[in-house]
Amino acid sequence: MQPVYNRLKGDGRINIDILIAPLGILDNSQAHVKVYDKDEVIFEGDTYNGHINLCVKPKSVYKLVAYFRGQKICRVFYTNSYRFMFNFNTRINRTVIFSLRDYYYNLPIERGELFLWKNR
Amino acid sequence: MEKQIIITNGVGTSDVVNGSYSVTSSVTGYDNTTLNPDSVTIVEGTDQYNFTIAATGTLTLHVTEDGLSTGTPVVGATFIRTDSTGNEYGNAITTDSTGNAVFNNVPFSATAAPTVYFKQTASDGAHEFNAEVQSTNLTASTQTTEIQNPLGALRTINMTDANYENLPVDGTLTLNNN
Repeated sequence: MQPVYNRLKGDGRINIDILIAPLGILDNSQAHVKVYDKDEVIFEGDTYNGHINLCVKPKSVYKLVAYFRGQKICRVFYTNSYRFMFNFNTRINRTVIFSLRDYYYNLPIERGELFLWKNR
Repeated sequence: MEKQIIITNGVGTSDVVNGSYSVTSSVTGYDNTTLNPDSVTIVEGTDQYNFTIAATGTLTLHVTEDGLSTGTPVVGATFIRTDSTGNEYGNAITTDSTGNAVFNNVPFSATAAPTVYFKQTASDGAHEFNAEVQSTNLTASTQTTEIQNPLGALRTINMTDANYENLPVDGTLTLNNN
C-alpha cells in the first residue's frame, strides 16, 4: 500500500487507480468509463490497459459506469483505498469465424458441425 | 457440450468466450478422427480459426468413347475437383492407358453422402467432352463412374495453293489446342 504522503495532493485529494477487468491490452479492447460525484461527471474516457487514474476526495462516495462491447457495469465505491478493481461478466464473448476445409483439396466443407468443449 | 457451430460452405460463426477448448466434428462422409487441430484456444485479437478434415474414399473416372465399361478407353483426359459453382480445387488427374483417372480421399457414406463435384478440362484432342460441372455421390468407399468422350466429328481439311486457285497441296497440318 502506498504511503499517504505520496498520494495526497495539496488540496487533500488523493490519486486512485481503478482496474476494469477482464480487458485486453489493445486499444480496441478497452472500456469507456464515466465517474460520477453525485450527479456530476468528474471523469469520462477510455481505460488504458484496463486502468484509469483519478484524482478524488478521500473517504467519499463515487459511482463508476463502464461500457464494453455492449455490456455495462455500474459500481458505487468509497475512497478509503488507492486501488479498486471492478469486473465485467467474465463470460465476455464475441463472434468468432470457424473455417472447415478438406485436408487434401482445400475444398470448403459443404455441410457439417464443429463442437467446442471448454477445457476446465 | 459447450458450443455447436454449424458449418455451411466451409464457414461457421458463433459467439465464443475466450478460453481453451477441445474440438470435435460431425461431417457426413469424412473421417471425423482426422479433424485438425482437435483443440483451440480462443484469444483476444484473433477472430478466425481454421480447421481441416480428411476423407478416405476413392472415385475412379473411367473414360471411354461410348461411356460403357467395355468401351474404347480414352487416354489423356483430365479432370479436376470443383465446388458446386465450378471453382477448381486440388490437382488435376489424367486418364491412363485403361481410361482410368482416380480421385483419392473423397467423401463417401452409405446414407446422405456428400456430393463430389468435378469437371473435365481436356480430352486427348480426338474426342469431345462435356466441360460442365458434373457430380456424383459415393455410397461406398470405392466407386467407378463411366464418362463418355465420343470421337470428334469427322472433318475434311483442304489445303490448296494460294496462287493457283484450287490446286491441291500435299503436306502436313498440325492443330494445337489453345
